[in-house]
Amino acid sequence: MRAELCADTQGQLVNALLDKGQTTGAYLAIANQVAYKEQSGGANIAISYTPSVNVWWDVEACIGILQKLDAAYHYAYANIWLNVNDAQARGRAQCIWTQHSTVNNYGFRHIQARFMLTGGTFYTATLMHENSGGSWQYYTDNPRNFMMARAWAR
Amino acid sequence: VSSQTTLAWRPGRLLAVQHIEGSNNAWYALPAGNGQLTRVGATTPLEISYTPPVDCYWDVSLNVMITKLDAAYHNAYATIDLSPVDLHGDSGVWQIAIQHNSVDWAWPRLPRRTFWLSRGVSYVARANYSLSGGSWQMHQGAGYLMMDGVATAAYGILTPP
Repeated sequence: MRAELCADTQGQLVNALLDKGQTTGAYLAIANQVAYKEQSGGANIAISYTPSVNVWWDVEACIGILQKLDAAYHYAYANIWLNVNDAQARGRAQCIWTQHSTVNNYGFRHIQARFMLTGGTFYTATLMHENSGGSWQYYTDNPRNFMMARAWAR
Repeated sequence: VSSQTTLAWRPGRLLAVQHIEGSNNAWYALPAGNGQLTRVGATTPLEISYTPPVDCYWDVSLNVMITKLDAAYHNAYATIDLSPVDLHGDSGVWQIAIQHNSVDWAWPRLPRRTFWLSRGVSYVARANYSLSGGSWQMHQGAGYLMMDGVATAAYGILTPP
């Protein structure tokens, strides 16, 4: 994760951050309501940011492979969760797909959200998994597992 | 259609907006294996390029509709592949889905990623695909096939992480 300089001119890009999986990845099982990881035993895929001014915060995340391991239909969400709600009382964004190991075992999720942040408040956006049952795994390398965020002064 | 506008490069401001799309309003059979997506039949590869005047962030996105023609399950990736790699050492984004003509005949791929570019370096982002087997096609109409880029000036010089 890296941060850039900030400014306070309305409409300008004031910050860009990235978190991602490793260059060489591996399959990693994931349970219900658990955060995606950079690698096995690693940190969550998450971005933290304390804006110096009020900003619009565009957050996107990709899971290039999410695999269903058992022969039953269940759905799985990819979620972006904020640690605190934004200035519009929003703190969640969700993307869903139903999968079955013998039908569509491989699938992807790509989710994007725009939050309205308040200057001086600490925010963390975390990429979370949520499912209705069954067994799931994902691949942790960085072309298939990342989160990025950009902030625009408002 | 392809356009690029170079604007003032003050920090945090737009440098360029790019758009390229299919120009053949018909289905096109994808050659087996791996390859680059194309805009008209087998010609005019789908790609955008950019040489930033200052270090910048380059948001690149792809929208492609892919259909499976045969009654068997296979997977298909759509990817954006950057050359050379950016300042993070990243080279793209990959998205996969399984399809079967009587189950999930049509499915889009929507890969998107922000790259961190170094000034003066010529970058190209290519839209590619990879098939595990079976017969596939994509639609080359402008509403189904497009690639976009938005470059925004960074503050100062981006250093490799």
